[in-house]
Amino acid sequence: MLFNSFEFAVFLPIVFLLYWYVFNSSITSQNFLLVISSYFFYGWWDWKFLFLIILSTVSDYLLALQINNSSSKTSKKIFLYLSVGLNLGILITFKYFNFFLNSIITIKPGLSEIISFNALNIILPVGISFYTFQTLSYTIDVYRNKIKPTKNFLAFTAFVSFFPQLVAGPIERATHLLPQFTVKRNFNYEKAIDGLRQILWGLFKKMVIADNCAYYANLLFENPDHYSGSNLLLGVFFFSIQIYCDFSGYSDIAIGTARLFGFDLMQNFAFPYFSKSIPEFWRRWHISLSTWFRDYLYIPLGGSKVSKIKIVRNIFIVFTLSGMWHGANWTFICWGILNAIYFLPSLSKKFNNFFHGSIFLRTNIGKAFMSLSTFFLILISWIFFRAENISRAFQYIHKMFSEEFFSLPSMLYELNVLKVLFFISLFLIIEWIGRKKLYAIETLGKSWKKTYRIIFYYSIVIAIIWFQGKQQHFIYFQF
Amino acid sequence: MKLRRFLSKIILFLIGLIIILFLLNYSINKFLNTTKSTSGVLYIWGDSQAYQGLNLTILRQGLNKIVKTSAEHGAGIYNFIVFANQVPPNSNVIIAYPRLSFIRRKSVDNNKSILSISALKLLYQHNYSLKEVKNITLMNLRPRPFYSEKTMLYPQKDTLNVSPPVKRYVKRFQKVPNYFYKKQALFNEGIKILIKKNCKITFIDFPFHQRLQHAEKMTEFSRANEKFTMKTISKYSIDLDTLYLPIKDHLMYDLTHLNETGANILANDLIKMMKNDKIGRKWIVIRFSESK
Repeated sequence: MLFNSFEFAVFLPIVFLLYWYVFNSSITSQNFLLVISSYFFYGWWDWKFLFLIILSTVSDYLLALQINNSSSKTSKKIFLYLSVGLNLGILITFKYFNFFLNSIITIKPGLSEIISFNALNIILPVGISFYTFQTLSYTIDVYRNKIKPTKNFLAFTAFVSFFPQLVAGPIERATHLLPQFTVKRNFNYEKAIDGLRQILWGLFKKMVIADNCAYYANLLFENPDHYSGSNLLLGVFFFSIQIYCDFSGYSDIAIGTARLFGFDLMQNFAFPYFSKSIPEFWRRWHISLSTWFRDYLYIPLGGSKVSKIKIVRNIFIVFTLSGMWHGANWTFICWGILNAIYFLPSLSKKFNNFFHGSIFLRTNIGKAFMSLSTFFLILISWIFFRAENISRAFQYIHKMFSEEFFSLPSMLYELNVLKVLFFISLFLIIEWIGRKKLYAIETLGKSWKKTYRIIFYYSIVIAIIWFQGKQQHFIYFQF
Repeated sequence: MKLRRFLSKIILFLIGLIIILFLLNYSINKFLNTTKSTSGVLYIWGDSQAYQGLNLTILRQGLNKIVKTSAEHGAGIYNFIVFANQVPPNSNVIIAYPRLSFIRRKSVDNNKSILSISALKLLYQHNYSLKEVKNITLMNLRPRPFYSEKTMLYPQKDTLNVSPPVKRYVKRFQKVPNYFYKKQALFNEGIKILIKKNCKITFIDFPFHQRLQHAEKMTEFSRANEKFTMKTISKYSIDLDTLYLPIKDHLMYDLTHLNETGANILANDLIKMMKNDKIGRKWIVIRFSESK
């Protein structure tokens, strides 16, 4: 069920009331309810894929215990590799099997008859990329002695299946989230109110901003030949806002929902479009995934403590795999590689000295210039992310940079486009005001008089009800 | 205690929200949609066939009336009931007979208009499920102007747009689903409301392209529509008339919609027919002349 659906609006209050009124007597009962409701939540999508989560949960619970109980490093490694193999095996089978087969056919068309016979009609289970990475981080952290494996199977199951973050993150670390399942949660009024505020903001981002942008982004990406360069620039701008508001909106709702139950999830987005450099962008965008790749791939490969060539190699590996994580399509790989290329200049001391030393770039205009340049580079990379295939991505870019690139987009004459741009402007102003907080409206209005605060919250709710776009699936559900 | 305080705050917030939404909805709708006089106004309802198939400027000039339309692409039956409720008594109305709307799945009907409890109640009484009623309610929480004085006409092109193809329509028309008759029953309820209000009604049965017109003939869809038309005409003593459009000109944009030329011809012919209508109830069937 979607977070912005009627079903979830019924589901959440029921679970909330049961959690705090009926199942509040002990940690066990609280966790039990969370597991049942999380499985119900996930099963609402497709109950047949519950077996995958259960398989991942049981195997990693047992393997982590084995890693801890093994005396020799070799046997610890074997159990770790089993966990990695199982989790990545599930992910690769469901996500990449057909992609690899189709890619082989492209290279060797003669094999098409044999291969298409064997191609599986596989549906991608929702959230598979998220929960497999979450459980994998648990076994790796146990291996690294960062965390002791839990013997509390119920707490571990609740940690893996926790419904607010199950299908689209944040990808939590066991060191951060698992201990929260081993203590009894008591209702915290301020936390719950804060959670509701974050849910509200997440719904606004998703339903008003992202879903309205989606209409125009889809229109332009599906028919780039019918539009001028400047319109196509507007189209990719809409997509940039859509993907940010869709994904960060989901994260806000997930984090806010978790707070209602007394849990703290990690921040997943820290206003990335205000970044002044590509490395800064990647410290602020999808933080749970980028830190996962940093801690479990980049650093084990040597990180930045190896030779320059190896650092470059590591960066390309991380970004390429990050691209692949997003989907089984060459466009995502291209997107990853492009971001790796963007990252390279930051490895150069001369480059860094220039930017840190430049007087202009330390002024407000200079900072704005850096932010806009970074945003523009990211915007170009989103074209690959959004396009159906590589040739359409290049077609889009080619058309966009035509002679009409600097003309006024004709779409600006449409009232609905202006309405969406108005909401985007309002949204960006609020995000800018709240950029030092965990989410934009965390403290906005807290110092106001009660009447103004209530008007503010009602305004957001009414904007959501009146100005929501046509309902779209959360983009990151497809990953 | 804190949990109770939290819950009570939520409940109060939600109650406040419902009250505010209702008040805003009611007051803004009233402001946007109240028409002061009726004598000089012509009201139109229909789906895309009416939206794209009537030149309002010609109607305005020919009938010397303000023309207000609530025709919309994919307009659903809820939309029509709201229209019937909204239109002032003794009004002049044009209703496009929504053949395609009857066969369209309920989930894709465009029922965006304004919130009307009586219309929702009527839908529920005619076997619309609670879920369907809920979906229509959610679609109509935002106040909006119910009428517009603008429409768009499809341009005349050299080739006919045949997407979807005739075959697809005919396949769909072979057997009508159950909700078809329920929608017709609701349409009848809307007509009752307009007649009770003593409105002068002109029904227009828009044409299909001659290819589809010919192929549609032997289908259950065609029979069901004809039966309903005859029943309604007889029940409400409506004067039936047929308007034949020439097929030598390209008057259609696609298989179901008139283009600009067709819309202009229709508007001019309508003006003549409406001016000569003494009864105040007319059913005009528009077809392409088969003999030419």
